[in-house]
Amino acid sequence: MTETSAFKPIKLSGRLDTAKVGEIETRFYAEVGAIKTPGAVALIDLSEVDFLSSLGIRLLVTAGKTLKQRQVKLGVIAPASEGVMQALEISGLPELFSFFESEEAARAAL
Amino acid sequence: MEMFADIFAGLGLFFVGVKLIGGNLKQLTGSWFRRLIEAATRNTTVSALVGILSGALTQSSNAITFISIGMVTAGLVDVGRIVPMVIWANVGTSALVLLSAIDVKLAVLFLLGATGVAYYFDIDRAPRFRHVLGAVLGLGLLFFGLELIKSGAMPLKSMDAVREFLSFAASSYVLAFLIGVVLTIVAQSSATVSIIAVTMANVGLLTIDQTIVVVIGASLGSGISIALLSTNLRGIGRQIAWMQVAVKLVGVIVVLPFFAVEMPGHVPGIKALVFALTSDGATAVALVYLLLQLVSAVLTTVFRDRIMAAIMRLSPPTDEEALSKPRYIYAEALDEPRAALDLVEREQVRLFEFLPDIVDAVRVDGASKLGPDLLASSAGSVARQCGDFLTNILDNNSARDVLIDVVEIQKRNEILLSLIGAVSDYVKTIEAAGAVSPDSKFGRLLFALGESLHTILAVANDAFLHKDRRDLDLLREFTSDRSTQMERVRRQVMEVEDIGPAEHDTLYASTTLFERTLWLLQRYMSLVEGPKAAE
Repeated sequence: MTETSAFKPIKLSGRLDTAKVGEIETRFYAEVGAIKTPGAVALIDLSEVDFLSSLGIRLLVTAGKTLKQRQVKLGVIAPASEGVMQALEISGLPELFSFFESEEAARAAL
Repeated sequence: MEMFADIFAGLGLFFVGVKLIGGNLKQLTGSWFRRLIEAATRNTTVSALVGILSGALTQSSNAITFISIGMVTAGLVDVGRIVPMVIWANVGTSALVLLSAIDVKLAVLFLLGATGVAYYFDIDRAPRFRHVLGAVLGLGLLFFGLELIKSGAMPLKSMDAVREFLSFAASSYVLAFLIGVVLTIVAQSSATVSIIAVTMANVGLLTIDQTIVVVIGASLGSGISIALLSTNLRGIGRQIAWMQVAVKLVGVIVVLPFFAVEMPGHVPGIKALVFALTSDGATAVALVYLLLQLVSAVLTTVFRDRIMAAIMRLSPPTDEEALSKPRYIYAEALDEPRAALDLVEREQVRLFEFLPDIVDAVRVDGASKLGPDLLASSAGSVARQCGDFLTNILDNNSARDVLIDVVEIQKRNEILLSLIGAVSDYVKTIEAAGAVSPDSKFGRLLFALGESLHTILAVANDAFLHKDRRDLDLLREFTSDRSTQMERVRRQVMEVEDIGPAEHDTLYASTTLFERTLWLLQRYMSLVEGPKAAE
């Protein structure tokens, strides 16, 4: 369910509840960890996420922290779900990362 | 008839005396008793001595047991430290029993006279003397009541019916033992029953052997009474109560066989021992009471750890007690103020673990098995114990740098208590709202608030635990001013949906509490890092 490269978005989808985060986190962090080049652009695609729990939000926070330390630019492709986007906004994530409506918009901006 | 009236009036005065002594001493002992117990529990020997003193003052091991339970459950002292006091309080209760065996009639009359004169001159109106005078009046009435019982009961021993009953009772020590047990369960005090028995022995209504058996029975009765009173207790409270039951049982189990062997007159034992010390029968019985308490206290002290381990297996601490127990702070650390402050800081950081778990109660995905009220009250209890500990550091030190740090950490503690309150109120607000459709704008907002609050509290826990610069920076971003954002989300819900007054209240309360929690986290962080770092 995730595909990766330094330029391809890391895609998350479906219901990111505690159980699902437990299943995907090792692979997700491995994919994030593989992006090491300073100045590179990393994209996390949340467009198909329809449920995001606290653990899912922290998954993004940790990824953002790691990438920032490596001076990798992070863009997040915003979720289509209004509820998921509101959870991200109230958590304060748009203050930490740039959110974009599409991959194209992200690439153009970053 | 007059004889029964004397006994009845004597019993009445005796009970009034007991109440007056206990009631006034409780008032008198409020704050200093608490300070005394806190100081005493730092040392086993002092704890035992304070137990003896408390037992002598209150004349009730039950009272000391339940005061101790109150102090331990309030987190003021540790169970292991208060146990010696509970054990040795029994020895203190011997004081009045010994006094009752001595002829104190003249002293009692003068005491009552002097107390009356003091009341006439309104000395009781002075707050300093009010309770002292009340306790002295109680003591006077108690002994005057005993004198009335003695004089009223004197003619009884010449009455045929009484003689027959007594000879029947004398023929059955089991009956005398049961009388001691039952009367103590009714009177709630083995000392009270023993004093009455000694008084009866004084006038020759009971034989010395009967009285000793009544006294031993009274000790068992006291144990049964505490066991009955502790049925509604759980965890640590029940541990202390059962320790007191064990004290009573040990005494009876050890002393009773000695006396049973001695009674037929073949082997010298307890009776021989006390009569070697006194020739007066009533004093001898009072000494048996003292011996019973001493044997119980010594043996229970020797085997304290084993008894306590068995009791802890039977009544383990409740979830709340286990959670409310500080992990780092302990009384001995007060001797080293710097180390003590470090321990308080560690304890405070630990409390951040509780906060996301409290929010779990209202999350779809919540994993915490413990209820929010239990978690909030336990966290609050630990925070208050930190507050008391900090006050003790202040009391014991005058070094300026220590005082400044204590005040800073006290401020953090106050914010922590407010944080626990705000998070707990948030959960209560959401719980009170009941089921809200997850597809509505209002439902989506509540979901987002819950998940966001949980995230931020978890980040705060990591940041304060590891003191990682990046985590602290992240937390500062998360806890920036949200008033505009909250105002916007409230407006969005109200513009789109026609919500009722209850939902309106929930909307305002939940967003305000969310905002308040973040503001408190920001304030806590600025205290931890200093004002410059927060800018």
